[in-house]
Amino acid sequence: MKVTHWNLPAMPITTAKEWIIEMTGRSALLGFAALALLPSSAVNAQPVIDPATAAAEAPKGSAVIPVYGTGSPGRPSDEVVSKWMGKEVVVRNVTYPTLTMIAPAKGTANGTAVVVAPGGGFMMLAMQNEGWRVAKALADRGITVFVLKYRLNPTPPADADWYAGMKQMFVASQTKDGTAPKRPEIKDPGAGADGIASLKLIRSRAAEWGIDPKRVGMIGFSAGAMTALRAVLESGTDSDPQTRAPDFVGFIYGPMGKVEVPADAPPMFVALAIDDPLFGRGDFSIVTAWNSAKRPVELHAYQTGGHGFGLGTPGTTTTLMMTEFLAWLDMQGLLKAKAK
Amino acid sequence: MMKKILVAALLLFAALPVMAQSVAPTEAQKRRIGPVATPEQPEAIPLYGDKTPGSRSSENWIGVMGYPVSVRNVTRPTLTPVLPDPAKATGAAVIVAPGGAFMELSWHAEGIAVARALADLGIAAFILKYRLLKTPADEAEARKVMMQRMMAGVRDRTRQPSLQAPESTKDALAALAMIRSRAAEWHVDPAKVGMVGFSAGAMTALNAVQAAPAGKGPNFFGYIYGPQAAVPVRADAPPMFAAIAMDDPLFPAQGFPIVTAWRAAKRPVELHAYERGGHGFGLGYVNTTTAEFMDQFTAWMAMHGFMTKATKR
Repeated sequence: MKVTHWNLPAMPITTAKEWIIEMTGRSALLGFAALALLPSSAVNAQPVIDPATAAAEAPKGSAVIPVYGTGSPGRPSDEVVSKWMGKEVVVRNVTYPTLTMIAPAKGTANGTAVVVAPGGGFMMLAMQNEGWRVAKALADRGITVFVLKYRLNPTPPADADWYAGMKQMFVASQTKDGTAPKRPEIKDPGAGADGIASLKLIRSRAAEWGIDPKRVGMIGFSAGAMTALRAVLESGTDSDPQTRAPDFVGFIYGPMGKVEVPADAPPMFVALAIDDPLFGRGDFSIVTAWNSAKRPVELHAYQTGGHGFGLGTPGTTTTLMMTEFLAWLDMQGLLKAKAK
Repeated sequence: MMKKILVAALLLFAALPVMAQSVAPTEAQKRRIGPVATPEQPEAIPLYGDKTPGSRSSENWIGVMGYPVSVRNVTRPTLTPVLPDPAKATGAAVIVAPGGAFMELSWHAEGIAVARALADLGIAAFILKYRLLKTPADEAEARKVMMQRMMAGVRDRTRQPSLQAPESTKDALAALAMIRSRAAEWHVDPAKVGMVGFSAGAMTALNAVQAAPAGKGPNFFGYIYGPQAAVPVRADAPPMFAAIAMDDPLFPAQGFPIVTAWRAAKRPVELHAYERGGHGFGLGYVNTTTAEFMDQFTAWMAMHGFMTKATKR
């Protein structure tokens, strides 16, 4: 399936915030985009998953924490682990949101925490490419990582049925006369709320975990980036320090549309490929919006990488993304332990 | 805003990037900055052979503690090769065009330092001393004139600056021709000759791209804190690597129209927009993300295959 050069329709929704609001409403238009939001191998010619560097599962001994404690919705048994395109480990049908805590090696923790939100079009989570692999890179630098398994829209449990359904959706979206494809609907899976609740949970247990509650950030990929953005736009700005927005955000191949930037918006690190078939349309409005609001923002727009490059497609500059993110965190003072 | 621009302009014109960690020079530092004798530069090759115009005697150099860092009133254009260890040579060549509002060249920070960094990575670097607009020989008087001209020259940020120096474009094209004609001697692949320019040097690289006859322009170029206004993009435009700081006071980031234009023309383009760095970060400041610039630029060159030796020598 070669989709790198998909001619994506102009979206009728003008801003990312509107888009998000649409999605949280009952009949959002994610569209055709839903397919392109799928993980890496969907839109990249080259496989990017190397089992040597991208574990298929959470590290042994890592703690799994339900985002809502005993009041958690759903059931862990709903989850289905699939191999997307026969390669990459993804999780579907998450109804019971969790955080998997991956602590840095003893003595290396710097007090900074990052929630990692993988992408997958809100119908799956690219746990291997955009979850465990990212977690390792961050934990190696002293960060306490929480991989967020947020709620997803339901898909048929059997892979064959799931593929068939997606194919049907794709075919249904095509129009005979070649005009803009029709867009399938997408329902709110509760991902944004799960992101916000995660931040609150981590801050409330910060002391226990050796985390500075003012150094709790998020990094999200694609649908995960949208989830992180929602945490920024919809978190409380009131005096309750635990309901604050993330203290910093990594926004990796998320939608570039303009947003209304809160006056206290956190520093944001943006990365995407200019040839991203979904969001790489030469529009960097969200970056400009952040800058115009005089909020710190950094952008890395790679020449090539498609959508879903994770920690990078070998042989391209996208492989520098994590180095660049870590350097940016370091510049904010987030990789050094706070003096006691 | 205006104040910020003025500070940036002062930094730019005072060729301070070598000590740019500080916002403004201290009194002690100021005393160490001043006119120095024109360096000999025997390695500089006149761009047009016997027909090279001008004279070295027109130049006004500024030094920091006696070390020459910037030059004004260049009338005699030259190319200074900074070649890599032959064992490490990749066959790639990059012309380095320093900035300075077409009235000065930030010779050290945006010339020598960059060329050395490239040569260390196996790239044949060539510092371009292009012709500049005339400014008063007197330093204080010159600063005044330069400031006025520059402010007037960047007023409309929806367009490329009106401040231009057409001779600089000719010099860049002559430099490209010279490197390709002497490619064998310098162990350079004539299909891997690029440019990297800073500020007015970025404009010079862009102008060379735009003005070059087909096949004679740079094979790739780095556009470092150049103006962001859109330009018409030719169908055979080379890959562009753009880098700028989000807090650049001279070319404030209001979107990146030139990058968008490149992309709209389906020409390869990459952009790095650093959170902090102001105007004139050169090879970058320690402990900020601008320090990654050279790694990113050369990784991008490598992605294009410019760093891979095509044939054995």
